[in-house]
Amino acid sequence: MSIQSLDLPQARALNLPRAYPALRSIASRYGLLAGFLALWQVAATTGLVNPTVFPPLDTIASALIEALAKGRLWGDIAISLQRSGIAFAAAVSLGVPLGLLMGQIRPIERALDPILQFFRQTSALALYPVFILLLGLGETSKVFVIFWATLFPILLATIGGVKEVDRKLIEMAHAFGAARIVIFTRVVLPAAVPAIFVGLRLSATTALLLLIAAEMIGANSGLGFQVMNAQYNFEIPLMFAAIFLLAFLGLAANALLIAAQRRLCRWSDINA
Amino acid sequence: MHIEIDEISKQFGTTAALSPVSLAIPSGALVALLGPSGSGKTTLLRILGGLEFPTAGRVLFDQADATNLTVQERRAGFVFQSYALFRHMTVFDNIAYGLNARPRAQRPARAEIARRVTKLLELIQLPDIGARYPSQLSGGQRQRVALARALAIEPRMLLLDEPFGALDAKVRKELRQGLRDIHDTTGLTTVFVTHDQDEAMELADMVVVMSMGKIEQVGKPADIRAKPATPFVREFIGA
Repeated sequence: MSIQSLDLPQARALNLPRAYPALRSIASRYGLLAGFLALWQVAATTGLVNPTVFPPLDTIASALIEALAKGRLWGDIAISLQRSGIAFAAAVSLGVPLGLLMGQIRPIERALDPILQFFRQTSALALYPVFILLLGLGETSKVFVIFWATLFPILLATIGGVKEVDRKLIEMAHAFGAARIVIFTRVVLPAAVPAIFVGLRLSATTALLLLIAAEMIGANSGLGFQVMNAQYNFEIPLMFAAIFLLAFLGLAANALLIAAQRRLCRWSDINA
Repeated sequence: MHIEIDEISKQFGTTAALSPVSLAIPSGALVALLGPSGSGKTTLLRILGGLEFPTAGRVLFDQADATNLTVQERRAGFVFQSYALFRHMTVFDNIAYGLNARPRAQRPARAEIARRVTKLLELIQLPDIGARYPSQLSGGQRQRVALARALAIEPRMLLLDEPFGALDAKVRKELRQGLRDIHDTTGLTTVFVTHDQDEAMELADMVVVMSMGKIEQVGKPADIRAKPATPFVREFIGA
């Protein structure tokens, strides 16, 4: 009996510290989010806020499921992904090589920098009417405005990444007799990858932001259009459903990029 | 390799980093270039290695004019203060870098490279860290890896720029002995730059005290301590 009662606190002392930190880290990370959602649900069901403006979460969820089951939002998701995907891919395939070039070759950077700064400071949305005039109301102008806004974070991050590569690394490779092209591919590029990824993640966020704005202004399909349209038709649960989908897309894009970065930069992640 | 510096001067724009300096470094010596920042010691080291070229004067390696040799042709092993290890490469690949960077015709076979890297890892007494990345190493380990990388190309001389600058006092003492041992094993002519008089006096066979682009005194540590040649040397070494 005395042994048992002695054993018990010891066992608890052994088990608890192991379970505790994991629980606490989950609670500290997602606690506020869970609290916010719970508050929303309670406030909406008890009538603390107007449920026609803030429908309860279960109503939103069932509106989402119903819309998806009826095949209503799939086309919008697809077209939204297509627009932002094409624009993002185009921005990456122009921004990364151009940034590498500008970061490496001083005269090119000097010549291009003023005009790029000028373009960058001009809001992409302010230029959207210009793009519509030039490219029409179709897909091209929407893709182009997203491309425009996503290009600059990628470009600037790449230039910065290349320029910040430790000169001593380049000197060391040079001293070992490495050719310029080898120094670039084996030393400069790998060292710049983390900075490039910062640009990619910024751009992915910008792409979704511009996507929604462009779809709200001048589209008849896409998730941004559905948010607007649902509001016009007073289908508030559907409106929130589309908003949640957009938030989810943003999170998914970010998670994908982080995973890609982890794979490419195993070396930098180790102690970070 | 015997090194001779013959009336070398270096201008950066209008400022003179080195007034004409002359110095003979006997083959197999361990030499310290000692001086405060701005004394021209690093510039002199970089001119020796071919990272910088003199405005006037000559550098002779074993009596042959080496002034216009490129950095690759001089075959110097470099260690920088920041170590300049490639963060995205393992320790093994870092040490092998100088061999892998060679043109295909001069590159040793893979097995030979592996054999050499393994030997160097043993020399720096870290035989098991080949698969790690630099971010997983301590400062002292990084310095030793940088040293092994410099040795991998079988250099004709070893040039170290403040090799212990980024380390705490205790590790620094250990690594001083490590460098001394490696120097004695390989017999390489070794030149290191430092602003720390204890380090220079303890480690080097020959100390070159520099100030404002000029050589103030050259001699054995004991001689410099016993007979400082100029007021600057007396003050700088705190004798």
